[in-house]
Amino acid sequence: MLKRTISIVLTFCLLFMLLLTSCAKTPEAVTPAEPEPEAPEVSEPAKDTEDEPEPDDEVVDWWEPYPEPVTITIFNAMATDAIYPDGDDIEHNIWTREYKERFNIDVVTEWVSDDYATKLNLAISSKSLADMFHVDNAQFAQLKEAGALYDITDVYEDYVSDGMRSLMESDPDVFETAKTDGRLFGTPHLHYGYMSMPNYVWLRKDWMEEGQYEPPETIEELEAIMKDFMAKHGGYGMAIDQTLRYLLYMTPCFGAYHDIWVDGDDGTIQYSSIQPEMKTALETFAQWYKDGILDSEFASKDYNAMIEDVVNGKVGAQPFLNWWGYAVGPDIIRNISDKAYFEPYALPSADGKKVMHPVPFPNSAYSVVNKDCKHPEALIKLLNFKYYIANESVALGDKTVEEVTTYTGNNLDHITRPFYFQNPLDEFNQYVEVQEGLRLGDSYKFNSPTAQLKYNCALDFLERGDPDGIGYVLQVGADRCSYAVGKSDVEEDNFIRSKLWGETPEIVLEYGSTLKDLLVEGFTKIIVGAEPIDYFETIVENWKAAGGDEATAAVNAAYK
Amino acid sequence: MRKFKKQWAYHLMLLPGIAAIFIFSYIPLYGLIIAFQKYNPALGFASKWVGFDNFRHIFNQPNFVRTIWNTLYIAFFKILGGIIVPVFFSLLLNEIRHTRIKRSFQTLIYLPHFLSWVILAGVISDILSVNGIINQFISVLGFKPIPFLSTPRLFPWAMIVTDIWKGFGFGTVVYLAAITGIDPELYEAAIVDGGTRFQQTLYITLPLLAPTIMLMSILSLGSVMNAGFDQIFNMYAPIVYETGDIIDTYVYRLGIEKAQFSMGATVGMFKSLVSCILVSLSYFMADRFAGYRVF
Repeated sequence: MLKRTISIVLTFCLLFMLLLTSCAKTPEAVTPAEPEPEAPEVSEPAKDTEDEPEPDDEVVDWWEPYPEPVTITIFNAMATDAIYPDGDDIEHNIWTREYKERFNIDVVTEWVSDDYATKLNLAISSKSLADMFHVDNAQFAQLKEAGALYDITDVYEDYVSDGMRSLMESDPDVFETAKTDGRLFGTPHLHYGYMSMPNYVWLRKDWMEEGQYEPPETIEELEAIMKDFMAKHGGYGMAIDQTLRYLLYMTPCFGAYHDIWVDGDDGTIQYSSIQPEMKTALETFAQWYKDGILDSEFASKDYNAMIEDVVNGKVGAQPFLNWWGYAVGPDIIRNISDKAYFEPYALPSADGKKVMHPVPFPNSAYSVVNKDCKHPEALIKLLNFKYYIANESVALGDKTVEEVTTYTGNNLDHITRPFYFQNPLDEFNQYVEVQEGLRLGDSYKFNSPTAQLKYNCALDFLERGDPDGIGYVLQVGADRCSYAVGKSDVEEDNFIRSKLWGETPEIVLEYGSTLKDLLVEGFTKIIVGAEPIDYFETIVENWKAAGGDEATAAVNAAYK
Repeated sequence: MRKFKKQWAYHLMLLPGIAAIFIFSYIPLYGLIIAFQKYNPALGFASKWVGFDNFRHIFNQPNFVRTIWNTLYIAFFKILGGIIVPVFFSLLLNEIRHTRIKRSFQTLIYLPHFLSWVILAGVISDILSVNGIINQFISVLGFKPIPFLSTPRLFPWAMIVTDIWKGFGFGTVVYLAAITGIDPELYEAAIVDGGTRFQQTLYITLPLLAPTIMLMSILSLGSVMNAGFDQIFNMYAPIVYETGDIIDTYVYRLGIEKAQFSMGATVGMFKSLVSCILVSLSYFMADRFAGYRVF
């Protein structure tokens, strides 16, 4: 017995010692490595680049192919929506062939992943990085801190084309986030533009026609419509899910905004979700729950369960983004009928004030260059090329719309990462073109190949009843499509931009989604009546104590 | 030493196993240092040293303590049920004379063990929903339907019961095997003495099964801080965070989603420490009260 006890004790001692030694070792391991990443690393690659392009500074032609073949390794994210011509794939396609032919660049894909962020984290920690790849905000900050990125300030200045520059710098706030101390470390991917920012309340078309309702202008009118739907068709009023994501799309009706940072009354920046307007919104939602407008089971329904109810005709209203038609449209048409789809309506106002749409900081990815890369300018060249194909080639008469479609159609423009960006003006312009096309018919000549594609797909539904075309119809191709309803919001700039406009402070990242979760949990309790409305005050206190105060201070420090 | 000379071949055979454990379990212990760092994957282990900041950050979260409680609560009842139910079932199955019926029961209850929680979560959500089969039955009996998965009071029990249902087949097979190993002469002697079948179970099978039960309990105590991430993650919702949010799901939302590796490592280390204490404790208790030892 004694012997055994001793042996156990010894084993634990050994274990503990192992632990101790490993901990003790670390300070040593840290010190020698520390100066390396934090010290002048940042400026060092800059020197390299100054040497190279300086001599022929003025005559740099980004079209110039390399005399010798240049190999650029990249990482890519799976683009599930792309449809390739026979024999092509994400590694070998029209883009990679053009890179070779026009620039003598062999783009070699090291890996493609459908879980890109995780895979990239692994690559970062094992220090096996490709020459060029794209990163999210957090990874961008980490790599910059570690000095692992190439300072592309000079190659950008030397090689960027005029068109590409105007796009990149169209939103200086976004472009600025790619810089540290005035030096550029990546190119932002930008975003889909303000046209895609407003959310809508989607109402079932055939039920609306049956009741001959006017578009709801106020919350009361919307409520009346939903109650009428329930009386006639059973089920419940509005489809939402357990995360409250979709229900909270309704808060702008009450002047409340979820999860952005706004100006407080005292001049500081405050978190929008804890403002008193949110309480008003929750009060209404709780009443809706009591009245059966909200599904009695929403608290345990995830996204798929919510959509299932919509597709099965249990509900006639749903707050959603502009692309409801793609997400739910085809299924509901196949399941019920080609009249059963939903149509978008502007969010009604609860208090007669104009409804503003919350806009979080929209850029979420950057293309970056490994600091060991020999040809950092290739990034800019190939970005220029993408811009040329998408925005200039047709206007210059180099290519026809059909030819460009072979590059950008079938979502093939999504496979070019890291030589990738979104054009914030595209959505709006394409919408205008599709509408022109519908008005003028075949006589209209499209400027944008993507617009033509959307037009064709919309016609698939309108003329041939193909359910897969409904997404295009409800986004750009009808009198009542989401962009038609939201157009005035873009023109009048009915947006409230988050004050957190740029990099997210690290402290905010460290809380993960726990701060938001705390609110969602509390809001849910109020809505289902498990807590009275005044519980809102408690939620706010909890939020502040859980780190909200700290986050608020950090955001104020960074953006005030 | 003389003993070693005689047994060296056996020690040699142990070597690959020890090597594997050393490489895959001990060397990675070094990675625990990221719990004391502000880990940046691009810098690796050379990240900034922050001491106990990460621990402070996590324990300052007002909702962290409740996740510890939830974890222990759910895990404890899962372990308890995971012992009682299989023992009970194996005793019952053991009494079935007809081998084919016995075997098919054994297989049937073993089957759910192989299903992934991702799939089962969908099935169980349907069964337990307000329109599900259980609630339809409750309605027929004239009661109000119960939303099991969105009632904080009931959610942990839904997790416990479904987990036991999924896993008890495996335990049953283990106990059945142990019962098969019991010397039949004991039963014969009991029959001669006029012992009923119930008495045989109570005075022969159960006592001889006790060491196996003890072993299984101690083994399962190692998972007392694991309340089943994949099960709960696939079935919980904000409304039941209060009672259903366990350490693992909380850490997932705190750290893993946003690649905050240090937070994950910090909680992992905390969990290991607590488990280590609990397992040692239960081990000594098993020794003290049941005379059961591994070493």
